[in-house]
Amino acid sequence: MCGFEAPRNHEQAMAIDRRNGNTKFADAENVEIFMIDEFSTFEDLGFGGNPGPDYKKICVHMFYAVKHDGRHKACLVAGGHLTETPIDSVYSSVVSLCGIQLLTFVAELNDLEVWATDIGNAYLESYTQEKVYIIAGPEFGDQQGHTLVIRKALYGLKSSGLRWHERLSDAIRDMGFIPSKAERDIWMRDCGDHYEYIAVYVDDLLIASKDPSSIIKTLSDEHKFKLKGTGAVSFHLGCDWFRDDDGNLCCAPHQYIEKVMDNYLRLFGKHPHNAHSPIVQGNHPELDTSDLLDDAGRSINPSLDLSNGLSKLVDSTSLPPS
Amino acid sequence: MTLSRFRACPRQGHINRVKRVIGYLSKFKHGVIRIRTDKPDC
Repeated sequence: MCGFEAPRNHEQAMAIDRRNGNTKFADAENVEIFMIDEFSTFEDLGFGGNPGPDYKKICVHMFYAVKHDGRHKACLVAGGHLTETPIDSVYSSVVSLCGIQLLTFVAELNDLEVWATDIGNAYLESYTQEKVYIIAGPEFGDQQGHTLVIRKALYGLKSSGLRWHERLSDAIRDMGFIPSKAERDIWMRDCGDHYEYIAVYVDDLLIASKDPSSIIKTLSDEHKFKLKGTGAVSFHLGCDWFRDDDGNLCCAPHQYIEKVMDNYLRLFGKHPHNAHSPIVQGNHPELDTSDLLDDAGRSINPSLDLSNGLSKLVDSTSLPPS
Repeated sequence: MTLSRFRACPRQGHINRVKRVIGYLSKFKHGVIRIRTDKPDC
């Protein structure tokens, strides 16, 4: 988001648009509200509608961001912090990075194609069991002031992650896959002389199969998922995937490292000093008593955040040079 | 332990650690995880 001002609410977004003489944030809001409508996320009870005593009133926030390629995004997030903590667990698991590596290794051994795909608006594919409603704000246009009961697992609700996990698990199970006993988010299907695999990381799927297009077709045609970025894996979970000169499948977060280096140069005005290891011996950041960073210092930290893929490489202190 | 857990209340020492991690990445920025299925030499 370097060089762009990100608004904190609808009024600020509109003010920034007016100042910039464009409608980028307004357009982003409209796209989000259109998608929310398309998925029938809310049940509109009109002005003064009363959903009943079991329902709790919460709020929603429009979250704004500018992507690195300049695209303006708006995302509606429910104030899940206003609801009671559920008694039952709402934990939703994801495949481990080790599981991803094992899957690709088995795929290579069995001459399977490895494809990646992303399910768009995943959470809105599932229904929430929480009884919550909102009073629509100005970002809802004509619906402003209406009572809207939340029907779908809107991002921000405590149980939304689990509801989506259940929805996708049901779909994959319907396709004849069973979860691996070692990694519950790697799904396997017996094809006689080999297995097909799907690794699930929330809405990012990695598919290993002799015919991945048929799995994609089932997901989109029968289960009506809106799939994006479908094809042979080239970028997945923050890592670039490619084949080297010997034809070996490789993964490395090159794009992410490049971005981190750019941010470093912009923040500190120089390139980092090369280090032979990511941490020093006896490293205990939890015992650090050095000065607390001020607000300016705090803003540096997220800019240098490390992705999953990057963390994995950093973990590997014996990483061989390519 | 990841450094992201200190984002809520970062100290100068944490930034220095992040700098070292990035310095390591800078040195090995061409590193890759390579998936080889041929028999290893042993």
